[in-house]
Formats: sequence, C-alpha cells, structure tokens
Amino acid sequence: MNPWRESRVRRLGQRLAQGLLDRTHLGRDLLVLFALTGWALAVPHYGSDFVVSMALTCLMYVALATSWALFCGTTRYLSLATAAFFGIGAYTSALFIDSLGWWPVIAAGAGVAALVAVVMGSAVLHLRGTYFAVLTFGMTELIRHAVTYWEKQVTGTVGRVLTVVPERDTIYLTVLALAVLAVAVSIVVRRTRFGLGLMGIGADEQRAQTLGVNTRLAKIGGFALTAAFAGAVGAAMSVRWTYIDPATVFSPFIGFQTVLIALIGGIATLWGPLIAAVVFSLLAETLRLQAPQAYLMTLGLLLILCVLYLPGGLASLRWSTFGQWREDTRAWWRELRRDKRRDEARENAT
Amino acid sequence: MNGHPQLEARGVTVRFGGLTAVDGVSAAFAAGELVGIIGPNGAGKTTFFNALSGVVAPTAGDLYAHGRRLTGAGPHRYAAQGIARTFQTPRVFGELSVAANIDFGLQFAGRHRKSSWLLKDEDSILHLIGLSAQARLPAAAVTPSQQRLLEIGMALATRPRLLLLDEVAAGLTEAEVDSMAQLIRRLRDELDLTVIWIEHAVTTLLRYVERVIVLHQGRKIADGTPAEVVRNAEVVEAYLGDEVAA
Amino acid sequence: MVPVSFAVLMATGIAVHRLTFRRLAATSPNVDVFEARGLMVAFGLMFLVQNFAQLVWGADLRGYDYLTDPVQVAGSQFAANKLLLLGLSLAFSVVLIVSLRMTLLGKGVRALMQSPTGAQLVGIDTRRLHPLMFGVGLGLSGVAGCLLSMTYTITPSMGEPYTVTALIVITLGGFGSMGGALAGGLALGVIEAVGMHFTNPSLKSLLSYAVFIGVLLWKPNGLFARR
Repeated sequence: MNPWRESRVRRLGQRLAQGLLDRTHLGRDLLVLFALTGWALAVPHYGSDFVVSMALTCLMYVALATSWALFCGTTRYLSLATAAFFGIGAYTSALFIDSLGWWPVIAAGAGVAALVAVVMGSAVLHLRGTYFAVLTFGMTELIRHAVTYWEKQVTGTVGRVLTVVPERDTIYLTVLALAVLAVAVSIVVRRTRFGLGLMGIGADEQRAQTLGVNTRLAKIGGFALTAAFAGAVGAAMSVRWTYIDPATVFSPFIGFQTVLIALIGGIATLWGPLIAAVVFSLLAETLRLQAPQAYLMTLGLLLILCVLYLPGGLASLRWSTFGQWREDTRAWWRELRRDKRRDEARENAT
Repeated sequence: MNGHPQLEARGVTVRFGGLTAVDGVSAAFAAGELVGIIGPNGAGKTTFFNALSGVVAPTAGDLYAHGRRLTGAGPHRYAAQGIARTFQTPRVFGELSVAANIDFGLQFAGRHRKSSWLLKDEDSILHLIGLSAQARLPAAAVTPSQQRLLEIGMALATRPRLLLLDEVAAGLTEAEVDSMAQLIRRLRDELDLTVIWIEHAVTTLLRYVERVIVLHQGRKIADGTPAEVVRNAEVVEAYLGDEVAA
Repeated sequence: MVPVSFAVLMATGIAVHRLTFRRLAATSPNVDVFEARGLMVAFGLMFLVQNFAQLVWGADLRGYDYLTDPVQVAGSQFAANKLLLLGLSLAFSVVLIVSLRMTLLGKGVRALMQSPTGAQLVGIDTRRLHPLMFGVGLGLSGVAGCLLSMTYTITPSMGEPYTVTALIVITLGGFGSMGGALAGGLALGVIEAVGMHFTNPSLKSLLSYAVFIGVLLWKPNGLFARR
C-alpha cells in the first residue's frame, strides 16, 4: 500500500478506536434509553387512564424538548417556533387522516413542518440570537393568524373535528416512538460531522465558517430537523384532542414550555431535557388545573432563577454549584456594602 | 496551476457606513510567495484580510482565486478554495481539546483537499506546530502564545494553498517573534504555501519576507521588496520613521 | 396619570435591573450569551407579571372612557383621546431623541451603547447609568400602556402584540437608530391602518408581519442601518 493510503487506513482505525472508547458513553446512553423505553412501554398495560394521559404529555414534551435542544442547544439559535410546527402537524393530521393512513399522516406532518422550516429558516437564520428568537415567535403568530383567517373566511369553520381516531394505545406507542427517536437521533448526531458543525456554529460561527462549515446549510438542516419532530408530534397529539382550533394548537405556550424545559434541564446536554420534561409534566398536571396563574408564575420565576443561577440547567448541578452560590451571595453582599460606603464617601467629600 | 495568480484582489473597497476601511486595493499573489503587509493601526489591514477570506464582502472590486471569481461568496467557499486565515485574537473552541480543535478543520474544509503528508492528520499538524504535548488539554487552558500556534494549526488543518496570518507575533518577546518567523518560513517552504503576513514587528518581518505591501488609511502606498519599501518616502513618513532604513 | 405611571414603572425597572440584569452582565462570557439569557429572563418576567396581574385583577376585559368627544381637525373628526395619544407619544419620542443627541447624559448613553468598556474608561458611571436607562425604557412603556388604556380595552395580555411590534419597529429602523425607530413605527402604523381599511380588519397582524418579513429580505440590516 502506498504511504498515503496506509495513513488513511490508520486514521480510520484510530477513529473507530476512539468511537469505541467513546463507547463507554455510547453504551451508557443506549442502555439508559433502552431501560426508559421498556419502562414506558409497560405503562399502558398497568396504568390507569390518568397515568397514561400524564405519561403521554410527558413523552410529548420529551420529544419536543430533546429535538429542540438538538438544534437550538448546540447552535444557540433559540427558536420559539415550536408551536408553529406543532400546529402545522396537527392541521395536516386533521385534514388528511381520512385519506391517508395513520403512519403516512404522521410522516406528512413531519414533512410539511420541515418544508415550512426551510422557508422560514432561509429568511431568518442569518439574524442574531435575540432577533431570531422574537422573529420565530412572530412567525408563529403570523401562521396562527393566517390559519385563523383562512378557516374563518375560506372554509367557514372555527376548528376541526377529527373523526377517524386510532386507539389510545396506538397514539401512546407513536408518541413513545417519536420520543425514543428524538433521543436516539440526538445521540447519533452528536457523533457525526453534522453535529460537530452545529457545535462549531454555537461556539463561534464566523470561525467555523472560515474553517469550511457551510453554516447556512447546517442551520437550515438543523432547524428543519427540529421542525419535523414537532410536526410529527403535533400530528399525533391532534387525534388525542379530537378537536383542534388555531388557538390551542398554535398556542405560544407550547413553544415556551418546550424552551423552558430544555433550558432548565440543560440546553446542551442529552438527558437534561428529558429529566426536566418528566418533572414539568408532573408539575403541570398537578398545578395547572387548580391554579393556572400560580403555575405559570412559578414557571416564569423558575426560568429567571435558572438563567441567572444555573445557566447550564439541572444537568449541570453539582455539589460545587452550591458552594459557588454561597460565594456569589457573599460577593454580592460585599459589593452592596462597598457601594454604600462609596456613596457616603462621595457625599462627605462634597 | 494555470496562468492565473493564486489570489488576486482588484480594486477591493470595503465601506462601513461612512467609513472607508479599504480603498481600491489591488494586489496579486503568486504561488509560493511570502508577502508581508504592514501599516499603522487603522490602515485597513485586518479588513483587507476579511475581504480576502470572504468574511466581509467587498463594497466594490473583485476577488479571484486561480482566475475564478469569488466575490461575495461565503467564507466556507474561500476555505474550500484553499484560502485559510488566522484571527488577530485567537478564536479557538475553548471547550474542545487542542487536538479536537485541529480536527475541526480536517473535518470540513480540509476533508476533500489533497495535501502533503505533513498535514495528513491532527497528530502531524500538532507535531508541525509544536503542540503535541498539549494535545489532550482543553484549548482554553493553554497559554496565549500556545493558542496563537493553535490558531495557525487550525488554519493548516483546512489544507490550504494560501495562508493569511494576522499579527501572529503580537505580544511575543523578540526571541519568540524570531522563532515564529522561522516557523512561518518553514511552513511556506515545506508545505509549498503562499503566506501573507500582517505584522507590526516590522524589523523581523522585513528580514523574512520577500515582498512587502504597505497600507495606509485604506490605500496601498507601496508594493515591493523590503529594500525598496524602506526607502519609500511616503512609507517612511506614514509609518516607519527613519530608524528602520538604517 | 401619565407621570405617575412613568415613575412607578421606572422604579420597577431599576429594581428589576439590579436584581437580574446586573448578575447577568457579570456572569455572561460574551455579548451573544448575555442577549440570549436576557431574552429568557425577560420572557420569564413576562410570565410572572402577566399571570400576577391575572391573579390579582382577573382576566376580564376592562376599559374606561376619557375624552372621547370628537374633535374637528382639518375637516375630519377624531376622538380627543386619540389625538392626545398621538400628541403625547410624539412629544415623548422627540424629547427622548433630542436628549440623547444634545445632553451630556444622552451622550453618555450613546457611548454606553457603543462600547460599555470604553464608556467606563472615560469615566461614565455605567453602574448607575445602565439601570437608569433600563428604568427609563420601562417607564416609557408604562406611559404607553397608560395612553393606550384610554382608547383600547385593558387585559393582562394586552402588551403581547406590542412586544413583537416593538421588535419589528426596532429591526426595521435599524439597530441603534432612534430616529429610524420613530420613522419605522410611524410607517408601520400608517401601513397597518391603510391596509386595514382596504382589506379585512382581521388581517392587521398578518399585514405587519408580512411587511416586516418583506423588508428584512430586502434590507437585512433594517431600513436606516447605521452600521
């Protein structure tokens, strides 16, 4: 073999070995996923309707938050458009479930959402963080208003009723499959060139560009991937609710909750969004019906506290974090006293 | 390759609002040249580099790589054409290891480009720039001068034909500047690169390069051998002063 | 009521800034991260405040009548309160723009906008100025709410459409350009009103988003971008 080919083979071998060494992580991740899947599969058999319903909401948010974090966590382009893609999926389902079957309509929901994401992304992905975030929010509202208008003027309805409804267990299994797929895709993408490119974009986009990353393509691709998942989940959940209208399926709250869960769980980690999704679904189901305002206020407060004091999310919580908080509080107190002393000194001087 | 220069700027002008940072600069760079760019602060050197690497699209003028028009293309296209650059302040991926930083370029722009055996993988590049011992450390943990070397390594990982170095010797001691200059010369010789080098350490630069371009207030005021440039009256007045000529 | 709302909101703004943004500025590694976190904090505050209002005052629509008599101006009739709204908001905008340009404080603020470190180095007390400007901004939104309450219904979530509109206006006007923001805001209002007249009123938001996206595609840095 000529030296060039030989080194290529050696490199390939090195890469495989590294991947296998990495296998400790990969193995652990896959094992946990397997265990959780098994546990989740058991729920419909042993749980009551209420438990299944709660598990369903939980799995929905696992799928949404994990797929959101896959793109938005790595590239730091915070998208608030989850509700738009969710709603698009829901409407696709409502419109076509009679003509297509169950699985085709889920795929269609994902496909249409991804297409819309490509269009939306081409328009706004060149903007910086804040503007991108608010613009995606704005575009979600735009789509909501457009659909409301269309329904009212053109088709003359307010909402839509779904008549062909599969069994509870089918829906559950579908959403479970989507959640597992979201986590699996996250595990895989992190190890590919695509994932590396996304991480580069999040770390220093311009530098990544000069090193050869086609950032535009990568961003649109990642955005479309997120949208596809949200669309599929929306298509699945719409049959659960049997009646949909623009206000519920395009509710910005879906987007906020997804972002919240991902942020509080740990935006760039793999398991953070999952853990947070579970915690929040429990919180939501217990609090939301009793005191919806208190629930939302708690969410808001938690978000603020999390961003201020735990920016890496729950997944980054360590024993040392508490020590760091103690230090910070002391420093803040010292600073306050120093400010007061400085102001007094200034007054005495004049 | 063909008859065209490796990189050519024709009348490149870069304007930001009311400020003209680069004003009608034309220059052609042939394969294998070692060119220095000098000039006072604010002369537009880094902006010129930004235009040459696609980071900034010129307001007017054109850029050609091997005769192919690249004006307005994104930086990744420039990288694909073999134009690599470093940044004045090292922009490394702090959380990745030193080796992973180098690997980044190999994964993207360097992936499909042929190169010499010296750049065949991250270990050889690390060896070339002298950071083999620091390979597993996170990039944020190495010293600033090591980060400078890492910057160069990352650029080399894209397997370029042309290397734009932006003040890589800034803040180094005289001995370090000299060894940096020797490294640059070695890179040019062994890797068959074209190197364009912005630097303020003018005395050292003038000893190593074969051609000097002087920018002042966005315009090119001189372009020739070091000997010619130090005698150029306009250059002396704008930047060098009398000591260098001596 | 206008001065009162200004004062209350300004005080709230300064308090909020001290509690949250100061910590953010200290712990964020760079500007982009700071912006992203600031956005999240702001959304959290939105949740908090909106739902607090809903809890305390209920979600029902409210309103009141004040100066609703029509006034004749140049041959057309306008409600007096809407004229007052227009007059006061223009006045406030002009005062803000003028004070940013002419006064020393205004210069300090513009310096802070362009380079926080540089501003500190030349002796501007950024630790006082930052919360102050944030407070002024919040105070002005309080004034806006006060003025709007004269003519529109009051709900806890009445501010939502204006959040996005505000960002549309800032983006259209070009980042950092006050005059641009004013012009953009006026233009958007006119376009919305005219559009509503010629097409369907329920298309109002659609129209503003469509205009916004159209402008962004044409001029990605806003209409009056300085940089």
